[in-house]
Amino acid sequence: MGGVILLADNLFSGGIGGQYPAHIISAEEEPAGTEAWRVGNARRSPIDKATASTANSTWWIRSVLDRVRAHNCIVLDRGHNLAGKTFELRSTNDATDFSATFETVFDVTMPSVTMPGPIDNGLGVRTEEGAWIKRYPLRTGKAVELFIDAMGANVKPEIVNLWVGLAIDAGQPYLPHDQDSHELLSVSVETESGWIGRARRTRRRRGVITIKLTSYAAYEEQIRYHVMGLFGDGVPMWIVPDGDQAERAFLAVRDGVVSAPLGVGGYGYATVTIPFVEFSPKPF
Amino acid sequence: MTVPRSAILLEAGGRTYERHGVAVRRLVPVYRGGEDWGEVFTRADAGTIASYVDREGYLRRALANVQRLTYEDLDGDGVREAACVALEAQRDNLITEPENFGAWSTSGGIIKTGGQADPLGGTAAYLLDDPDVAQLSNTALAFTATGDGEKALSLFVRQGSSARSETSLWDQTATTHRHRIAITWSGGVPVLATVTGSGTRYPVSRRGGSWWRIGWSATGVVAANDNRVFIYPAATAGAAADTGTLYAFGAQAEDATFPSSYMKRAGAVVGRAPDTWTLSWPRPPEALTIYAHFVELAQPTWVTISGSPRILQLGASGDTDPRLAVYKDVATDSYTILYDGGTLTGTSPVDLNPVRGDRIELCATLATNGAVAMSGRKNGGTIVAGTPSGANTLGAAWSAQLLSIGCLGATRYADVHLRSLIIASGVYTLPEMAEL
Repeated sequence: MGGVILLADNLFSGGIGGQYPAHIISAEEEPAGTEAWRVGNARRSPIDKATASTANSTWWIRSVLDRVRAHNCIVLDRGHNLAGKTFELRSTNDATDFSATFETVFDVTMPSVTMPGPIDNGLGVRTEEGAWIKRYPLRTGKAVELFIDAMGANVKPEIVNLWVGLAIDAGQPYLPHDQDSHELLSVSVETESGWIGRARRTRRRRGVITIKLTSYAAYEEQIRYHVMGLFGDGVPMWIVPDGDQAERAFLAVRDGVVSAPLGVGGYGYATVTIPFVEFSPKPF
Repeated sequence: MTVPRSAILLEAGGRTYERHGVAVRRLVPVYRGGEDWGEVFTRADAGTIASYVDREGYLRRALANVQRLTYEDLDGDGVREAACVALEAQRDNLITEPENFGAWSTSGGIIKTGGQADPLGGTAAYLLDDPDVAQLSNTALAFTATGDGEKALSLFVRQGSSARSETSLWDQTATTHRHRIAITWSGGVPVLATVTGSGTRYPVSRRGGSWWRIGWSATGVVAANDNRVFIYPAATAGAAADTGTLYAFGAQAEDATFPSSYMKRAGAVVGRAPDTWTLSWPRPPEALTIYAHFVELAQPTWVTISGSPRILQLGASGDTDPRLAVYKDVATDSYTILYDGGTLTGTSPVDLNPVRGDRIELCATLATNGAVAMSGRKNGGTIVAGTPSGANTLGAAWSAQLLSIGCLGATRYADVHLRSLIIASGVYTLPEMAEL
């Protein structure tokens, strides 16, 4: 069983209210109502997206950072239309308009189907709800860009949300661990005969992950920033309950008290308790 | 004893990028002021001339004032897995045409073909072809040195058909090779050997695309003379002619004893500004432990422009006391910690006898009684402990609330690839700090 992978950090969350207010998010084309900054607002509605105005043409969306930053994970939220399409992630310390030298972090064709796979899979992993996630070796840059090849006649790229940031390997969860604990959201009626009628229903994951840290140092290293800081501030966070099964990744926000008590002896092992509720789950 | 996390005051360097996504440890989100340390990093290049090596070994360029994260193979497995912050002094590339070998002289029928794949990911490299077994074909370019003495040279090479090539710093006025070296390929790896002259041959460094960077120095250079860099694509032992090819790119000559990272000249931009990195340090003098883990770039003797290169200094930029400095002592060729409280100065040196490319770990401590002590090890070997200084008085404040990393003022630059810098309150040992 792989460890729990967490991604709350997002270099594309810029501007007022974003994680990185000084980051500048832009795209090659930004028609009104589908501006580039929308990919960092975590709104999962398919009508809140960034897209191009020209069909069947290459298109990029880019974040120019306020300083050199490191990143190792990307998530394309559901609602994109890149399944089966080719794109690459680029990172540069040279000209931030990518007119000079840059690193191609990866160049892939997104899978069209959901298959089980580890988060480090070369092609990334399409999740059970249609998002796509991939972790890659750490890169640094002053700017990062998603570059999408021409997609075919009359087709324009559509991105609802994009995460590029530093994912952390939080460690192993305490067992027993339920990856799929959930609740059902719907308007329902139950008659005297026991018949239950429901309107449209949504299965929403809800639960608690308790992670055993390998040392108290691990808390200071990453948990305090990503979990207690970002996630604690209500920032949506991608949770991969098992890094070997990245297809089960989901987006969640905090739901209750997030805590990280020290272990026995003060500086011994620590745990972090992450109560979560799935954020804008996909309805049935 | 484990160093408590509450004792850690600062973490910085390449490993911090891996753990925290930025160069200096942050525990609070940016939008909550998590990066308000007064950190200032500059490399005031006039253009995009600086370069670094990515994790695949490819050469990349960096804009002015952009910190470079270069990757090193610290465990010798051939994989560049360790991110390190490049901290280098100011340098100029004295070769006016480092990539355009078409502008170099042509002799002995050498054939120069451009448009070859280069380590920057472009096609600016050249294939140098010696087609004539009766002549020692070569290409050369003159350069102007500043001041007499030892000069550093470097070149990117990729194996062609030649089993053996040569390159040299030739003094046309004195008609002598200051340092001529042979490049012999063994299992795809270039091996350097001195043919004539003197200087240092530095370890070769692998790059992506089967490229290698070679570096060497030449002693006894007379700046006023006509100095030229020669490349002989094919030469047997004894300077006899041969046939064969060699790929070449990025020639560099520097007024220094060791080569620095590649500088791509562009018009008037001929040099790279120094990497300067400072943070605010709003703490008084106290018991401290400084752990510095880096790859040494300067070797064999730390000859500097002036002063001793700084790994770190607490206090004002200069020699204003009270201050604490961890530096390379050019007089003793040692890594030294110094604490000067204003009345007394205490030092503790340790001589690890490093060579270029060595992985160095230093543990420098300042005790509550003002005494300093240094220990260190090279390439994970035996820890060498320096003699601690005598007691001193901890002042009420540093001469300035300033921490300088890898630099001090305008001249004292570390020339290291910094893997990790950790400052903790209290006194700890090197193994304890290395565990962090």
